[in-house]
Amino acid sequence: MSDLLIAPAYAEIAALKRHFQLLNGSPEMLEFLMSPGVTSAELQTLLGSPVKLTQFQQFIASPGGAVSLAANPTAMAALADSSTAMAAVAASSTAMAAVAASSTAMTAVIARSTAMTAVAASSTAMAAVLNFAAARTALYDSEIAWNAVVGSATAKAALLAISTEHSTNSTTHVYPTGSDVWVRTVLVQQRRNNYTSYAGVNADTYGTSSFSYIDRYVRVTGLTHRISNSTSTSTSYIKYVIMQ
Amino acid sequence: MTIKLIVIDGQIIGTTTPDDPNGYVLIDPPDGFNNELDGLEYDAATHTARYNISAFQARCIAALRAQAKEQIEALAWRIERATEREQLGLPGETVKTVLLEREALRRASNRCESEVLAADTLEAVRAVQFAVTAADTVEQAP
Repeated sequence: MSDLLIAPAYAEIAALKRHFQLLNGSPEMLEFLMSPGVTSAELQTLLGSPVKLTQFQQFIASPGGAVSLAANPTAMAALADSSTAMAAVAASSTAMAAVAASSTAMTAVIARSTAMTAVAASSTAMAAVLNFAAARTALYDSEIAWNAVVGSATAKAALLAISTEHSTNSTTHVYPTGSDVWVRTVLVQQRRNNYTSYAGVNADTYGTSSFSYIDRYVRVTGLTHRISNSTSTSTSYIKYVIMQ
Repeated sequence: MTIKLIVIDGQIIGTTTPDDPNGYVLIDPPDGFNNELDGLEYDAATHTARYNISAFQARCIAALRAQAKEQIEALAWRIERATEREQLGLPGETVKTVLLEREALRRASNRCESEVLAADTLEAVRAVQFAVTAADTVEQAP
């Protein structure tokens, strides 16, 4: 007799359910989030219950749950407009890794200030987003997303943490490593050790005579920098992040 | 593009765009501003920037001295080489020749400082560039 024709024992069903939950979190939460017409208001109301919030946190922290959610535009739209849901997602490295790796999810997140405020306020979320080139580009290209980043000390600290330092004593503008004419780049900080450091797009838009780094956090496509006068002790320093 | 000056702790330390996201105190540059931060000072009473030629002169003189020092120190290896060759009786550049070059650098530095102090406009101060000219060279006695 084929195994397929043998009815499963209760113990086997219980084991299968356990395995499903380990991979996907709560089945009820999966059903709710994947229902075609789910809205942010419904989600926000549901997560008002501590029990449901815990179920939601478990769902998004499960590998299967996070990926299913990130791939579903309706669910992501509902989630991105719910401050409670987004706070939970932003706090979960598993969920944020899935969101950052999914263009569907990132499209939903960067277009909503509720979602971006939660992401920008979370070092976990920012680290996850900045880890993916496509997600970095999405941040760079969205006004809503970028405004949330520069408005958050946490987000700026995350950018600074992954920034690269470049120095030059050239009096003509030079590209830092990895930058080029069309490369989206964030100028994070800038300083000099003599004369004046200038940065911009082959232009002296951002100048400083500060010996210690000053904050910039500006988007510059085709970032270059230079020093105003050339001696062996005059150097322009920048910290920057390639956003693509 | 409109440029603003950044004021931190009463000092003008940079330029930026009007939409700078960092919450700095931003002020308009003075008339004739050409992106040079040298010589600019912040007037807290009027919340404006103005040029201070004395401060700019002092800074330029410090920079000139640094350049002269750098170039004088760069001649140390040639003095060492000339000294050793003279001791060995070998042909080549003499110690005196190199020391005269060093002296010319000192004279050039002094001359440039005088030119900076004599300049009465920022442009004139900026125009002074450290270089040894014929007037700075010392004739070697036969």
